[in-house]
Amino acid sequence: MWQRCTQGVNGALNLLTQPYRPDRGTASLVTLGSHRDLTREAVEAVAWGGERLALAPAALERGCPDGARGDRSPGAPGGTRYATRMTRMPETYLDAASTTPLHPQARVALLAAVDEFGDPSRLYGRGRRARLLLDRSRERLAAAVGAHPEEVVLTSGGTEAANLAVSGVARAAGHRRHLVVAAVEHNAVLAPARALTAKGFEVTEVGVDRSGRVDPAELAAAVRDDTLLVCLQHANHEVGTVQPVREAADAAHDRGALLFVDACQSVGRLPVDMAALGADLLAASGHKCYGPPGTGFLVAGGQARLRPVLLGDERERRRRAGMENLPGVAAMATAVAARVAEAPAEHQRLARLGERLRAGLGAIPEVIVHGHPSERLPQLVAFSVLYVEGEALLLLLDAEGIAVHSGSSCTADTQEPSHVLAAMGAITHGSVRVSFLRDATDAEVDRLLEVLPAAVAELREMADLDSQALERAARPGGATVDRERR
Amino acid sequence: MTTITVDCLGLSCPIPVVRLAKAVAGVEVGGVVELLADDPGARVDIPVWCRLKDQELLAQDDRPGGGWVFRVRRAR
Repeated sequence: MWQRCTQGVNGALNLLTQPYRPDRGTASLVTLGSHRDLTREAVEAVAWGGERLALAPAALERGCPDGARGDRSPGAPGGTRYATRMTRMPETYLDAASTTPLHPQARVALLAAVDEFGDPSRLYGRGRRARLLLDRSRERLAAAVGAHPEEVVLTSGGTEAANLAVSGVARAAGHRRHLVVAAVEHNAVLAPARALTAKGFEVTEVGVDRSGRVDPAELAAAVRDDTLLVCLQHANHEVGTVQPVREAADAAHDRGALLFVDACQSVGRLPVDMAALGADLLAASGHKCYGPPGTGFLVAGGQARLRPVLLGDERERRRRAGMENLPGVAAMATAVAARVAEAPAEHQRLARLGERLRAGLGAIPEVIVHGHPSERLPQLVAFSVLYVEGEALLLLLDAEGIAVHSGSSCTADTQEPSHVLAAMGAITHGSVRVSFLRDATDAEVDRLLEVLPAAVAELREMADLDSQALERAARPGGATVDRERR
Repeated sequence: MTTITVDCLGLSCPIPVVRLAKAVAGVEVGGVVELLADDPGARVDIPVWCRLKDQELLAQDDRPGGGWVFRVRRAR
């Protein structure tokens, strides 16, 4: 922990843009300004300028707080001194599978479009300009996944796209009333599929092997003559396993059913092509692919009949009502196009980082790495740490500036263990998902491997003590621990 | 042979697995640990732990009051 006092915006910026020195750990910065606005400005400038520095501006406080030593500068003469404390930490963001920062090109596209207001459905000049931007964005998205522009339905995200695929196809269904879904699909697929059972549909869930992969033969056996839709993700969101989508397409098409592919994790990471996958419908997310949140799209190919879920106008070829999020769409299209172009060159490097992490995890006792050994996303590593609570580990890592995701949430909003890990027959407690950004470095892997063993050891020690304390506490009350001889 | 009963009712994961592991380590080979748990995570993790650790899950039964009784024999 180290603290510095600086004066005004420039001092703060200079300090915060210094290269991070690991021996310093968490840094706390006190910015002094002669008036409130100056300090606010400093906070905002630093917060915006310090990309990936995890700046957390504290509330403005009067005066220099205790313990702030070092390069203390006096406040401006006659002015009130306001000190703002910020924690500067080298953020190691390892949760790219949850969401990603804006791609620099997408940021340019977003800012360029944000002032270009106009309704693309109107015929005057401003409307036509908006339409032009919308069309161009739609073409880029279509090209990125090998689709026709008119097949692209713009949505508020991957969740809406998946909901529209499942519910929209069901709404347009004739006599076919059966769905096949993989047990490890995202809840944005499983939940609307299960909801259809209340409307007379039947849903078959197909299990997976220990690696999280669907058996194509088992899936094919589940497809029936009255099957409407088969849902199989391209790559799993929790463990990164890539599914046999092409085989699933053949199985679906043999019986006249459609295939819906949730590609939210793979667009911009793996090659995604409608024809190569054999997909009739495909969902993608903007913010998981370096685009802005609140954007996504569904591709509904020629064979897929779809009725809208959102009603109210005739936009998106009557498949999704509501004004298009034009700046978001322009940014998403730019991000997706950029990522599709960049990803192949990054694949090896990210895969190597993943390999390094897997090798490093081998040195920590009782850690089980999940997923398929070869058929998997390059940038995602999932594992379970036995005897440790996943969320506790997440918080310990967070205190060290490392952001990872934990699939197990025993204490959070859901009491249920991860349905993906459960379907795989994997340990669900202590689960951690690490997923690298496109520009991830060896230093980030090093940092995680430096911090993780101690965090695990600390939690295991606590679990041990906790467990003993519980036994001690329970014993006087009765036969909680009851030994009997036979 | 020893049978130990470990009551983890009301305790969330990973405590049931931690306590099962400790209890199994505390009985001789062939001894049985009876674990009571009602955390949904335990339903998945106890059988998986037994498989990973080559311990024998003799039975997994629903408890009338909710949760499950797992009977695990120390196999090695």
